[in-house]
Amino acid sequence: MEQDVTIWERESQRLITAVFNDEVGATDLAKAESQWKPVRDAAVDRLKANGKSEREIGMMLQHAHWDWLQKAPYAGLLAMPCLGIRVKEEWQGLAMIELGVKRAELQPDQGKEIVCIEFLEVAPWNLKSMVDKPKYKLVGSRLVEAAVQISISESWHGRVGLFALPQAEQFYQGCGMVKVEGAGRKGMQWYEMSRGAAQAFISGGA
Amino acid sequence: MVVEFNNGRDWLDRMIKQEDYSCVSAGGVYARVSDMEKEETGADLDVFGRLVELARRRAGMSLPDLAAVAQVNLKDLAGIEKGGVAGVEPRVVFTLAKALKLPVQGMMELAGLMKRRGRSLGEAAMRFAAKASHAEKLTANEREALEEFVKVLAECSDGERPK
Repeated sequence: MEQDVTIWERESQRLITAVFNDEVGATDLAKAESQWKPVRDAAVDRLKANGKSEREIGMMLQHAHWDWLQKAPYAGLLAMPCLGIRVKEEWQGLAMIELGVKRAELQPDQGKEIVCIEFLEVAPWNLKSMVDKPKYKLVGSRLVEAAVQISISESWHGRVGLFALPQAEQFYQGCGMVKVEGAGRKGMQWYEMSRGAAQAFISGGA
Repeated sequence: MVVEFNNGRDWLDRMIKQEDYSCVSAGGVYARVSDMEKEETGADLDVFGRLVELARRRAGMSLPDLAAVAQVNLKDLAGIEKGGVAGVEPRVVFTLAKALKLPVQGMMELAGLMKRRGRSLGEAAMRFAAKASHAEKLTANEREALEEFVKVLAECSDGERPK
């Protein structure tokens, strides 16, 4: 289902209306990947031309090598609800969520269901690390907000968890999420939003 | 569901500012996929190719028809049907499975992109390959072999059924 959502356009410095979709399908993923890949590749080439090593590039771009279209069928991702935000036909961000498989680590709901954001990526042209003049802001925030709202609709009180990339940790902390020590994987930390933090986040008090 | 987005100016301003200092991304599935890629797989490209070919013919599609529907390069598709294309991309397997109404997971296993979870698929694949020819028209025997194999493929795919 599609609905309007407000995001911030950097160039005009104003809020614009984009489209939120909570039923993004394989064709949309393929389209997003075809739109994003050239921008990612160009960023990598630019850094290589500037003498950066593979390791440095990896640190700077972090998920530049993730090809979600390739990976999606591997992990059965298409069985997971996929959320997306687009402006006209251009995908600005995608998130895949898993409902109730992982359990909360934080009290007072330890062991209870959460929405796990298994993947979240903002289009490369919205990232300062990829382009000189990023286009939009609020795309990532809106996808996290949608995941929290879906958790509420499942009667899970907004509980959400995710594996955060290092460059994103500060953002999630700002949303009221808490790092759960010892639960991270492959250089990513497990962050969780408790029911209290979720309430504060969506109401603006985080 | 309808998501009730917060459109309060204070909230929006705060999140706009927050996105200034860090990007937003999460990648738990990356860890999961990394693990899966290390698992042992075994491709059976000849069976995979025969299956694609028979399912295409069952659907009454020509090679160009299927290439167009599945958005696969015609030359690549012809190679796949002959069993001569190693390292078929997951995207191609996925789109072919969808276009031919075959179980995605079983197709992934046949293409060697996922670990096989039982011997039954391998045995059924051998039986199927022995019965399938490259003749233009699907014979009754081929149709039967195809139906039987697709059934096994679906059963091996955790209950996933062809749609």
